[in-house]
Amino acid sequence: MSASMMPAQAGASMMGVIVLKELRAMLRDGRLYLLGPAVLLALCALLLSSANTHLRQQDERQSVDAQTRAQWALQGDKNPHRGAHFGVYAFRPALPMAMVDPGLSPYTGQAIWLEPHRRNMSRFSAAADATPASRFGDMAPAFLLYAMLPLLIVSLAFNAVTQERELGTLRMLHSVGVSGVRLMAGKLAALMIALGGVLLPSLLVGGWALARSGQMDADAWARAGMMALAYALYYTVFAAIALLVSIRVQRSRQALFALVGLWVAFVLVVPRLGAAAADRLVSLPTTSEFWSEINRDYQEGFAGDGNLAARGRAFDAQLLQQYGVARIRDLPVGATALRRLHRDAYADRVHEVHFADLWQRYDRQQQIIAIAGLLSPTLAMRSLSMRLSGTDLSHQQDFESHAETYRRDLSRRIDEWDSASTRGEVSYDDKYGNNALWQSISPFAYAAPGVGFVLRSARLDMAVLLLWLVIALGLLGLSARRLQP
Amino acid sequence: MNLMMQLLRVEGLRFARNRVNLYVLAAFGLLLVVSAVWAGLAARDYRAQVQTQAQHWGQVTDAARDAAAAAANAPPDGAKNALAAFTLGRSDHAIARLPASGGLVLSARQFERLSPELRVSVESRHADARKNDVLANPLLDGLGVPDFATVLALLLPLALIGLCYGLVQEDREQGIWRLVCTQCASLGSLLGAALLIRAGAVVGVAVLASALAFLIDPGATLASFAAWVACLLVYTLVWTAIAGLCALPAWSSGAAAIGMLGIWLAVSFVTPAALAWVANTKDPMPSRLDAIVAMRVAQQDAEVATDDLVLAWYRDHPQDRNPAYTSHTWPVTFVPRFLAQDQVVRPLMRSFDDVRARQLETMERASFLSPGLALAMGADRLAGIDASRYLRYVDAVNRHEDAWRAFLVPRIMGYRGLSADDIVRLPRFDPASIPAQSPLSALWRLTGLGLVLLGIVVACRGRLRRP
Repeated sequence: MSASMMPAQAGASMMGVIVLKELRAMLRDGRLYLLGPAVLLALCALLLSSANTHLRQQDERQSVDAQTRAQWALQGDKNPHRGAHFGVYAFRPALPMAMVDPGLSPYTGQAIWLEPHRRNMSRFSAAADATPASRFGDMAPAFLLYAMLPLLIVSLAFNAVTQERELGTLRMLHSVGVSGVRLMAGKLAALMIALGGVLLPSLLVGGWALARSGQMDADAWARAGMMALAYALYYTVFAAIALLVSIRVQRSRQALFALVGLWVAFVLVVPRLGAAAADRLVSLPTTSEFWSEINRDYQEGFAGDGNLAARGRAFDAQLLQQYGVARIRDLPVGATALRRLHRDAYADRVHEVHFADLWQRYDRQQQIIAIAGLLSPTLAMRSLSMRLSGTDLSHQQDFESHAETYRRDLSRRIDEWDSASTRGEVSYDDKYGNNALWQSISPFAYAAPGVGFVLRSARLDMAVLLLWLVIALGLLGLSARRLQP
Repeated sequence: MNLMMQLLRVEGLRFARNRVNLYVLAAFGLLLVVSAVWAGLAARDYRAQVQTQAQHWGQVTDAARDAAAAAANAPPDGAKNALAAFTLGRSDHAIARLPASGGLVLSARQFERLSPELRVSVESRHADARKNDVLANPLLDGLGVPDFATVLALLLPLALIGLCYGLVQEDREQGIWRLVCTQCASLGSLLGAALLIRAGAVVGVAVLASALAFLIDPGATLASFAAWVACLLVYTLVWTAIAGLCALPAWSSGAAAIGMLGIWLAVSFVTPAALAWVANTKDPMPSRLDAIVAMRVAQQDAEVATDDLVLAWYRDHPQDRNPAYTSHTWPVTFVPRFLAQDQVVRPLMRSFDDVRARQLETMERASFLSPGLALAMGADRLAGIDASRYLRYVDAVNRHEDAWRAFLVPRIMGYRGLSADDIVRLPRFDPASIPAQSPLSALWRLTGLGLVLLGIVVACRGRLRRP
């Protein structure tokens, strides 16, 4: 038993020695002292700045939400339909993790106007007011984490093996029987410990900033934990790739060259090429095409449904038959509102078809980008980070579909009240709706889906990231086994 | 001169025989060609789309003219005439378009993202997302579609860094530099020749890729291309000077590479963000959410005052009152309401473009601190999407919308509708008042920076003497 333990203990002890030696070497080298604090400071500054922005925007959103609700509830005497057209605004609350990764928030719009007859797009995106600086990258903590931190890894690890080879120490290690696998495992562990040392204070700052938001519940902490784990895996991929390249090339210059090239490809080139490919392979309608087609289908009807006028005549006939009267004006219920309900039900159908098609196109574009993630772990990490922060497309879609359900319900309830409160045809200028009616509509409330939703929607991204991890570690292991001085 | 030619020849040979240099150039060229083709196609698609929309508007006015001609022969129906004029007056096809300039290919997607087509209307175009907003997948916007100018601004310095790093330091590490010092009388000229060859190679690839992009775009102009080449030369000058500066200290080649990368990161990512922060501090962007509240106040006030606004309109325009109509309904009752609402909403919305223009003015003044940003802003000017031109465009659209309403509203409110002749005489948007600006005037600071850096390299060339 003890004899069999000995090689393992010796291996562990050797590993420990290697890790300590690597850490000492990193500390003696100026790079960690120079770059580590710089990255740490930048990350902490970005986290604090982002947290302040998040809290300010959260307060502003709540305040504007309350004001627009008051505007709705106190609009006074109006025709109910005109009151409904005044509409309400749905504001999407940001999850606390959005302060780490604002993701698509600047591009998705901040509010949706909910009004009868039509489904609107989310509007007032911050990107519309952005300066050209945003084209080079949004300065958010996540940008530093997924784009810049890998450069720190590259700069710490590019000569991890080549330098040993250039100085002749690799041959010495080889001669004393240090296996390549142990050497690489030690270097990898030391690299991750050094990185952990740099990131740990920022993790504490980030945790404090998150806790300060007052929004942290079990779900939010689960998201934060998963994000930390995902980034740890991502950095392991980069560290493994850096060591792998350092093994495979002969000189430090070549290693640095290759690694910077890979970083450029992963962070700058592949995401943009993926976006370009998605853009060209799955086209989106133009704004005017999209709305014109909705209008056309509403006016002309889907195949077999007849046009708007024919549908209206058929509905009128049905109403007359149902209530046993000869003229619309003799109906015991509000015909104007009932007609509107009928028309809106059709408009909802038309909108649903076109919006579903639009979201399918977005989804296909997203899939193309996910496939491009096979060429860049950064793309998969970025997508995962946005999903965990609730700032991705699927969270936006969930919010918009909730807002749409609320819009239909609001419009239907106003029209049902209208038809019950009137008889026959009513002028659009008659004011018989009042504050009691507006206040009877409960405010829009939205809660983002839980972490289970993220796990389901992020399966592909997680699989791609794990694939990168397995391949990077596998290749590193194979190369380490064959490591020659 | 003879010595310089000899050095150029020798450095040229040294450059060409290093396979890594050729790989760097090939990768740089390949990426630029992909981006150029994508950008060229995007620009071409955009121009084709403009043509299609112009045809749609032609079809809409043709149909309206035919309907007006038919209505002229039918018994007069004022309500129907007013509705027809109102419908045309708020048509989704009444587009006032910002004309793209000859350099559209440089920032094609950015151009499309910034709402270059605003729909004028007798309603308020600001309340309706369908009038102004652009349909786009936020995911692609977030990833950053590869607009040619941005890709070039990011990759050109990296290509230069790849070709130039360790230029002197590596020779030093290998002991070759000591030999060079003993054999070459003018080390400065030697470094100059090496930098010139590398800068020439990089700028050559960039110009060729740009030419490809401009050739694909049917609306590209030679003047824009020439201005763009000038921008590229200045940009390359600055980065070549930076590469020259990094060749001077007695660092290791690895340290030189990390130093150059650090400079690239700082001026490409950190400086633009810092400049944006400064610009936003100086001219804070108003809140879009607060604007929603203000817009709804204007909507509600106009709604409450609908009847008074109608009366006031007829009081101010007695010549347009139709005595046959004493009580009014939609759309007539709504038009004065929209006009009143827009008096509040329009300046509110313009303030965003105004602040944006002021912010970009601030950034442009300091953009020489980030050469990539300066290049991207120059490209925006060549594409015709710079913020000051956009603001002038918004003003021109507002003037056009005023003319549009001045023409249509009396015909709606007076129940006259539009005759076939009226439709021919509908106000047309004249984009001549918004010419594109040359980027060269904004590049002089960057040129100055490049020359200063080059001057420092020349002044410090004595440091090369260290073996």
